Amino acid sequence: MSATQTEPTVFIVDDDSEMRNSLKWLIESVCLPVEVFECAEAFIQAFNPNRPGCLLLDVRMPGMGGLRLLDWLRAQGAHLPVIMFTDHGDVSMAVSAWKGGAFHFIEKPASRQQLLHCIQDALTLDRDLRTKASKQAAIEARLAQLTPREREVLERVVEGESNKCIAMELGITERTVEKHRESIMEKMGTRSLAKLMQMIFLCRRDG
Amino acid sequence: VRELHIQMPADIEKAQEVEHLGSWIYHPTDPSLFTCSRELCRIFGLRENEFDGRMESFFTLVHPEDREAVERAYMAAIVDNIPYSLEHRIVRPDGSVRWVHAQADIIRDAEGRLVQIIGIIQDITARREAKERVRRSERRYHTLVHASPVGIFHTDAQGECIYVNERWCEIAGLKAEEAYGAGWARALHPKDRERIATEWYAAVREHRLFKSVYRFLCPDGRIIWVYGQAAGEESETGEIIGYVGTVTDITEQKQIEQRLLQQQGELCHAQRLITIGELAGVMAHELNQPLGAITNYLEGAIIRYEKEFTSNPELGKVLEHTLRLAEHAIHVVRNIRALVRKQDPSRQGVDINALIRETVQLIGAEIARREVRITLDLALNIRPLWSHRVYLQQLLLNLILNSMEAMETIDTKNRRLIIQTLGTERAIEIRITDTGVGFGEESATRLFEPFITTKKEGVGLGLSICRTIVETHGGEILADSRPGQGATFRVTLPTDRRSHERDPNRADRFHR
Repeated sequence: MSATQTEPTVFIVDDDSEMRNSLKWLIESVCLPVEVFECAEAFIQAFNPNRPGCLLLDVRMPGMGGLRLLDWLRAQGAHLPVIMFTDHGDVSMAVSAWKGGAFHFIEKPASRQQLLHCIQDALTLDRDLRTKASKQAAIEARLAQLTPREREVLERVVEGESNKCIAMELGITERTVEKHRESIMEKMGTRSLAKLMQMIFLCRRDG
Repeated sequence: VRELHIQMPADIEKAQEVEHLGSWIYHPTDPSLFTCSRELCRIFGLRENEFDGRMESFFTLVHPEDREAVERAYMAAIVDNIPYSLEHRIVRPDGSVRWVHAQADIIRDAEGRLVQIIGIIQDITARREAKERVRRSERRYHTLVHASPVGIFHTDAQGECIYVNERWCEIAGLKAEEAYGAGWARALHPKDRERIATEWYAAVREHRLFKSVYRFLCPDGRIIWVYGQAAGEESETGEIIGYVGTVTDITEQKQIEQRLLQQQGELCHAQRLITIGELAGVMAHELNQPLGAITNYLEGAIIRYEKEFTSNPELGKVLEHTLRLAEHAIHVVRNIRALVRKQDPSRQGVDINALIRETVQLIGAEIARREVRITLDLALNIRPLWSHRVYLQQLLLNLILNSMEAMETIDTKNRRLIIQTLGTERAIEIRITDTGVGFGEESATRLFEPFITTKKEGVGLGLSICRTIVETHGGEILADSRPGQGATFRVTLPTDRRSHERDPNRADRFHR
């Protein structure tokens, strides 16, 4: 998970060079790294899902267009927060942007506060999502070390069953169940049942 | 040889000839004593030597269909003393038929015995024919006046009505009796009365035909538009003895005319709004980008160089002030756009074929002036478009006018415009083909850009507006042409109500 350590970047896709460069100038002035692309296709080519940040995307562009890029990102399973620029009063476009899963949409031209706030929020969201994703990945890695029998025991422990019940269900002695539990705790890297439960739920929520 | 003719003075003989009146004398006691005047022979078409002196010779010339009546009258005169007088026909030896009026006096002696019968027979053919002519002419007059689709009136020299026909009564909603005298003026719309009077007197004064368009106000409140004409009726001495006139109901025409005018007015209004909207849209789009960039640069600069402002406070003030101005400009552009968007009319189901016909009718005068032959080839059973009617009409109008202008330099006999509609399951295609100057491939791509024009007076918004309208309907517009070979504009509009929402990805392609 070395990629998560890279600095969050604001990606900008806008076909208007003045708009692109002026946004870069503005955002860089609050010390955020910015990368600009003149079309959706160029962004896709350079896209790396492991790079944190957020995307400022113009809806109206020649070629692929903003909404299709949004669709593409979602199809990739990428959670990169997207802020869409729409024309003032273009309600149908705004609706389409929402439906496409945009994080936010901003009417052009946007004010500095609005824009920078939005970017901060988007970066926070991205960071949270990535932290959660890396935690999940760590838990998944530990779960992978469990034997099939240990998994069976874990499932029942999480359901709140007693050792006695589990022993009867699985046709083993209570002592054996206890041994499995110890092994599970060790492999999952915790000594507290509450912590174990939390870890399992964190993974399950996103099924 | 017996004298066959009555001896009479020359002047009497002449009088008989002039009046076509012949006479005869008969002695019942001696039939051989029958005499007649020479004129009688002439009336019956007998030549001097053809008359044999017998009364029967005349009788046989009575028209076969009238013979019985003549006999009956004659007998009635002799037996019952009923004066003999009747009109009947005779057939001359040459076959020609004449009408005569026959009369006779029966002269008796003191004992009542028949002594003599004196008869006169006048040729009344000419008189009868004249009468018949009058009768026919009268019948014709009646037929004309009654069956006429125009209202007819007749007044005396003072303008008092003496006659109106049925149609006039129908149009005015008055009974003939109500129209007589000064009553007819009640039919005139109060607002037109003064004008009609002025025009009428002017026409009378200048001895010309009165012609005017005015209104009747019927007692039931209906307003009827009429075209009225009237002329003075002159006596033989040339003085005006009355007026004769007609009124034609033109209400329907007037309504069509007014509807056309109203539509033209609405269209002009819509046209202005659409043009302003397009202009505002283009301007807003063109200004938004640089204004946005200006504010971005300014804000970035303010953040970056904040420290400098303590040593150079004027710079900070200027940058802040410039930023406010740029934001104000953005605000203004935004307001103009919002204002224009508010004017959008609501959508309704539109029959595109009917709209095409109506639009062509609307600019019929312009089409005729440009001597363009228009052919409509409209698909049957086409589905309605869920649309802004005025926008669609504007689209059609712009395309038609554009095509007609492209044919300005073409020989008039080759100026043709074909408007086609084609229906598919989900869309309607409108094709407008002209035989004008056309354009090259390079122009075809830039054609729909704003401010692109080849016309001296054009601002280059017509086709740009077309594109905006088509895109608003979720459709597509394409142009196809080769220089000198005319052009075809193809508009595809979806009939599916949902697809009328703008497809943003498709709109992207056109927008810049």
